[in-house]
Amino acid sequence: MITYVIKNRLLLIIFLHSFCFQSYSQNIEKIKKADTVYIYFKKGKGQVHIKEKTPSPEIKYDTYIFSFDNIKKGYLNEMTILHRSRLNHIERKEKKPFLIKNKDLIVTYDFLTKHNLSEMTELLNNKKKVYLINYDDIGWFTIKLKEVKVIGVFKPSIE
Amino acid sequence: MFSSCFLLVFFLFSSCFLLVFFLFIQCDSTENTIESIKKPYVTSEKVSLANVLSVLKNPVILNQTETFKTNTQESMTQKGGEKPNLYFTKIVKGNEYTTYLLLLNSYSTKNPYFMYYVITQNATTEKVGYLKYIPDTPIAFIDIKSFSGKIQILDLKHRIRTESRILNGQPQKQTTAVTARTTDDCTSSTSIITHYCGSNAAHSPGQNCTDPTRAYYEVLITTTCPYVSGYDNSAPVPNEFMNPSEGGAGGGGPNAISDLTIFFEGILSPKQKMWWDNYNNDPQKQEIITYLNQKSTNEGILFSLDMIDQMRTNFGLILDVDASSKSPANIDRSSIPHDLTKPENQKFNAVYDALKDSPEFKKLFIDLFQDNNRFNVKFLIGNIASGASGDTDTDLSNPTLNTITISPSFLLNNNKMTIAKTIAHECIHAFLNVKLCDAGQGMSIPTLNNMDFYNIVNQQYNGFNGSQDQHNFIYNFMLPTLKIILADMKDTLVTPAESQSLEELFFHPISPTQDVPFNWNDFYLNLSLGGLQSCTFFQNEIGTIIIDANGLPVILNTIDPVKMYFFNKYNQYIHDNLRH
Repeated sequence: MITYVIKNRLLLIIFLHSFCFQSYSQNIEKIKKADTVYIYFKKGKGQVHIKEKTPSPEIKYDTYIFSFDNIKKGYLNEMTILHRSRLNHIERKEKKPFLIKNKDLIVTYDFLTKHNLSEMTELLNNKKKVYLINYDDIGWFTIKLKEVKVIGVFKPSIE
Repeated sequence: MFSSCFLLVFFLFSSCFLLVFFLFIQCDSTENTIESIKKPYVTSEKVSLANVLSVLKNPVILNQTETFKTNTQESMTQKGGEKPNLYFTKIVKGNEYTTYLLLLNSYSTKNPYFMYYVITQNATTEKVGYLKYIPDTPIAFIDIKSFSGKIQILDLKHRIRTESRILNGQPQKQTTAVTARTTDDCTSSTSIITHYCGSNAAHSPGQNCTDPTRAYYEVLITTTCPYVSGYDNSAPVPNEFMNPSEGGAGGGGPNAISDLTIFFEGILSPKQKMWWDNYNNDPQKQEIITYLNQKSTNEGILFSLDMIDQMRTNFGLILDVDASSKSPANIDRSSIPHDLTKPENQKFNAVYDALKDSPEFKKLFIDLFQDNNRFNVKFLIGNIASGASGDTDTDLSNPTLNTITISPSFLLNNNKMTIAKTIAHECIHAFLNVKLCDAGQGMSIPTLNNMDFYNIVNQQYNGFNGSQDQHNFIYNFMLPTLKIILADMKDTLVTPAESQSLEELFFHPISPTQDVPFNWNDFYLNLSLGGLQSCTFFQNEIGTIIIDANGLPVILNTIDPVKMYFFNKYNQYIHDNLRH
């Protein structure tokens, strides 16, 4: 019996950890309706994490960039995601099952880049809270959520 | 001849002439202060000649006052040959006495002085005289704080009964024998008039009132000197009276007609006077009076006259006097009232109110063109067919009339700094349109080696026929001015939290490892470049951005990657970080 429980827990932990590497087909309608959404980030192609210099070690400036793929279109096709600890951008910890529970509200790089950048920016900017889940902040049992602000496309006006 | 046994009267005019200030007190403040002076001990109002004649008892004074009916005195002739304004200012000090004042002459080369006819009246006595201000240098109006010259009290035969020397608003010791012994003999007292709000005078300052004429206080200082000169048996010279002067009273009160207002009315041409007396123009008239009270200088008077002329000659133009006085053009905001149900109106007016507080905005065209000529701009909020944020339309048959339309969706979806930039941008279009239409002006651009405006336009910008030629001009010459205007407004339109969020930004124009911190100068520059992205100079120096079929911006070509990066990044951050 004990062996059975341990086995099952181990399987669950392995499953949850491997969750992060998978791409889910999120339901955009659910995301539109939600007050809070989560952005999943993993450093790699099209995804950059910059730790900016700060006035003191207690202050953290993290910048995450999602490149929307087309190099010719240059910098216009970047989504910039900012975490600034001084602007009351909070950090919080959750237990690993949080990922399963909120899987429909977690947007990934693949999901975002399949859509229009300005549409995605507007979608995320209209949420009460947006958190970023960095792959590097996922532990065996807990995950770290960072509150962020999303900066998207600039459409020059005609004047 | 004066008898030494008579009391010597000296009107110390620097005090008697007064400090009038009116506190337009919004109804939610200073209730405690108000209570003590609610009772109207001193009142002022404008009354007709007939009204004055009906209350006079002394036959000499009555006869003298009746002569104003025919008014043949040369000194009373106003500019344009008009009759002077025959409304007296009546000031009642409780049951002590009443003063009636009539402005007879304003300063001119021919008659270089100001003259008033003064009657004081109490229960038993009426006194009359002339009050004469003789400035040392030509002035358009009397500002007692800075007045230098002589003040005289004359009897009905125009003999000097007392004379006071004033230097920079301060009374000087007397030197003539006919005057008061010394100015030290005089004492001053203060009276407050409460002008109520509403037709039934139901609301005093500090109380809610929907009437457009707000309640206010008028403060008078009266100085009396106990030593008076002799007087004629039948028409004694007054020894005390009040004068609601200095910048002039009135302000919001329809009955409070100040000396300044009387003076101003006196210099109006017949056509200006016709506009002034039309009750339909009362709101603008009150704005002008308020403005004059704040800016009672020659410049202020000339500006007020221009306001009247513009509204008089351009039917439908309703200028915002205060906004115009602080803008590079005459501004009509009448189509954008402060309507709480229309957030776009609220936002536009909040931005414009900040814009008019920018000193650089007022002199938008002066630095480059050294041009003080003004034109009219009517602002509208409305949809623009091209989908643009703002549009400027100039009436080619009357190029001084411009209409600037701002899109309501642009107002609702953008922050105030961006809106301010767009308004200033459109004002530049209006100015260039006016200049383009006015080929005969021969204007030069001093900062460009005095090149003729038309040569530079034609040689370098192919005229203003192409849609982007004005943008090229703005790109090359107006960006420094736009940056200063935006810097002037930053503290008003950007909250401290928003400033902090911007100042914590970093840019990586070369590589992610090279940080470039945010700076305000780049912020102002890149914000000002918004709207210019389609002009030739932008495309040749920075690159080409188009909006694709899906409404998305696409960079077709990059000339300077760093500039292009900053243009996009700064404007992204401005759009997404500034929410108000």
